Amino acid sequence: MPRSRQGELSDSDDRAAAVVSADPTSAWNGDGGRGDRSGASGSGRGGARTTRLMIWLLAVVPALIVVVANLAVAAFAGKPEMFPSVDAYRLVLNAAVLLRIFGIFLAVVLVWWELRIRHAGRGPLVVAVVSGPVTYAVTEAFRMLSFFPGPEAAYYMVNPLTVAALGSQIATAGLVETLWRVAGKGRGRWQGQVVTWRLLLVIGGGLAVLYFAVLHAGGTTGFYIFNAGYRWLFT
Amino acid sequence: MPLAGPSIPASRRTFLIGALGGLGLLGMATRPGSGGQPLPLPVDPNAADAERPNLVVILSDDHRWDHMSFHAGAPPFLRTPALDRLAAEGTVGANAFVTTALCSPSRGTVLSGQYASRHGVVNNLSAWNPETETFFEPLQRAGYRTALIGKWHMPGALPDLRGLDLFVTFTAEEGQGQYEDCPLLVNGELVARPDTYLTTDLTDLAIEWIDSQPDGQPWCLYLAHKAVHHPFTPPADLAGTFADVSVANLPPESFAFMSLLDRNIWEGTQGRLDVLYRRYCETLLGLDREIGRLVDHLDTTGARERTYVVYTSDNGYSWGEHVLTGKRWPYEENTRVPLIITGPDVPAGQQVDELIINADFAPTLTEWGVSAPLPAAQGRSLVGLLNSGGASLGGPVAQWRSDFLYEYFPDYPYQVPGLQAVRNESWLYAEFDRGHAPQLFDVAADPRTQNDLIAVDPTQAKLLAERLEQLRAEVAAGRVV
Repeated sequence: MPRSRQGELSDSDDRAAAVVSADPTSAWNGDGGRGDRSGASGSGRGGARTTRLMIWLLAVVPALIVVVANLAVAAFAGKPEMFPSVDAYRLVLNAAVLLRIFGIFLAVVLVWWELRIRHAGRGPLVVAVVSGPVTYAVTEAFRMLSFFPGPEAAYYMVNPLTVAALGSQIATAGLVETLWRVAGKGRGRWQGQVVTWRLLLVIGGGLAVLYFAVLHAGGTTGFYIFNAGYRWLFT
Repeated sequence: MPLAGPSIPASRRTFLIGALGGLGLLGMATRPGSGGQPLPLPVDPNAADAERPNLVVILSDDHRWDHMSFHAGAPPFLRTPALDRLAAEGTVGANAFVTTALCSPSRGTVLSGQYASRHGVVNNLSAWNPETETFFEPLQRAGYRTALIGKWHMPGALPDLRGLDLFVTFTAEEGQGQYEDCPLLVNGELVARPDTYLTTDLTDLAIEWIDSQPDGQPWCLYLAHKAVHHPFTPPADLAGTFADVSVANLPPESFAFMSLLDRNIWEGTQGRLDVLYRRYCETLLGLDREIGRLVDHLDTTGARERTYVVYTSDNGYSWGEHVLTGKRWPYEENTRVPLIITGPDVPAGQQVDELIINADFAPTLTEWGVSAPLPAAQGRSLVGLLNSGGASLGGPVAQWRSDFLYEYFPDYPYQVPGLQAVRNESWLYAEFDRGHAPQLFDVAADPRTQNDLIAVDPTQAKLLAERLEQLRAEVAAGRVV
């Protein structure tokens, strides 16, 4: 049975197995992104369509989390009188804000494993990584329209939080992928190296982006760069 | 609680005097035009040989007006003995406001007496106009020795500033400085300051400069602290002082992680609100201690008898009101500032209730110093107010202003619309850019500005809208307001 460079079982040689998946890093290297599109159960076109729908729904879960949290904040922030007590108000708002941050920065942790089990292709996997940060960026850009002209509102989409969130989601996906491979190795789903240099690059790169965007020098580095970009473009 | 300050090692004291003296002499000759250099003006030979008082302006950063322990609304755990003492020995301005609640515009207004829309520093992105006259200039021409020590923080290149003999500032963190080991620019020369805490370091330099002034020559010190701006960093011995206190005084609409919302996140105060707030109060303890040290020094040397001291802040700070942190908005917690003035003829234990704005400080200083107005200033001298209606260049107290214009210009990426507001003794009316609805608050009955009455009292709104239009025109025309 032919093996890829990493030594994992090639999906195209074992479509019926359903427990074998392509290495997403090899997919990103242009090997065709061959996730298992036949469906987990191999039960025909209807089943395949359902599986594809489920995959795409999973991929946008981070975005949905951000949307729900935004709605909760919009509905309740500043209105403790809507709650039986100030403590209840604070509990709900804190939960909403933290949920929002989770959706923006980490929510891929909820769906990556499931997507890999379902042999999601490159598209849904990328969407799972970016849907939280992009939803944040787009919703805030729309909010910025009530304060600044269109181009400046659009520029807000590349603020340090968006950049950091992308880095965080990428690193998180890489970490979950690592765990998925470890588990897969134990179950015969994965053969060959668990940790590849590409995977390390993904995790390390994501963490580096997160650090320099919002953590270095207390977050001021990323902010000053963002502001410098604004001044260069608009002043 | 004890506020014993750290002693300054003799070796450091000697170094400071030498450094200041040497660099002061060399300042004009080193790196001309490189920014941060004082540009002394010649003394007017016609300047009257009168005995002139010394002048001290202490400007803090983001200090809320109600966070001084003598204030009825102060948090119960907060003690500010130095500020309390100043208040007891002088006059408190109970209704002191800034005309733009943002660092750079407010500082421009304090220095020039002009509204931000006139001096040009409308936000933290628009550059200082080097042609703007500050209160230093007429004072120096009249024979004053002058010093600016601390936060300059105007956008654009650091200027060489007319009217100064000493210019000590910092450019780290885009002019915000850093609490620990902050390098200083002393007359344009960068000086490393290892093992220092900025509030203490600036106070050391202020004391050293005061001590170095010739007997009999009047001096003017403008001491601008970074404290209590974020990142709230108290001195090491005060860190944790409030770790266990109840912060039930925070408003009910606040919640722990509200600083993570985009409306607040760029204020640099990410984290749990209660933790940040405690550190803010601890940082304030450190500021109070250093103010006390400076004032004690003036007392010890006898200089206090002929020195006016003005304490105020560049703007206030929201701690959860309206689910906001920071400044910029026209609400009370953003626009009100502390104001305490002591001096030779300033009554002790007095409170002044008239509306005072930060544009008033510059003409007050020039009246004290040279008995003359600052030509382009739009504020009024406070001398008459302080002297219970005595004659003053600020005009009759009976004709004191009954309202003022507040203006804020968009400052990217902060989610605050451009706005202008009129605040009088009872009402706040604000109009916003980009389609945000105007707001109307009865600040006498609703000081927390919770109940927008714009739909309830359209008559009052219309009156104030017309008055806002008048004030806009007056300010735009450069008139004294």
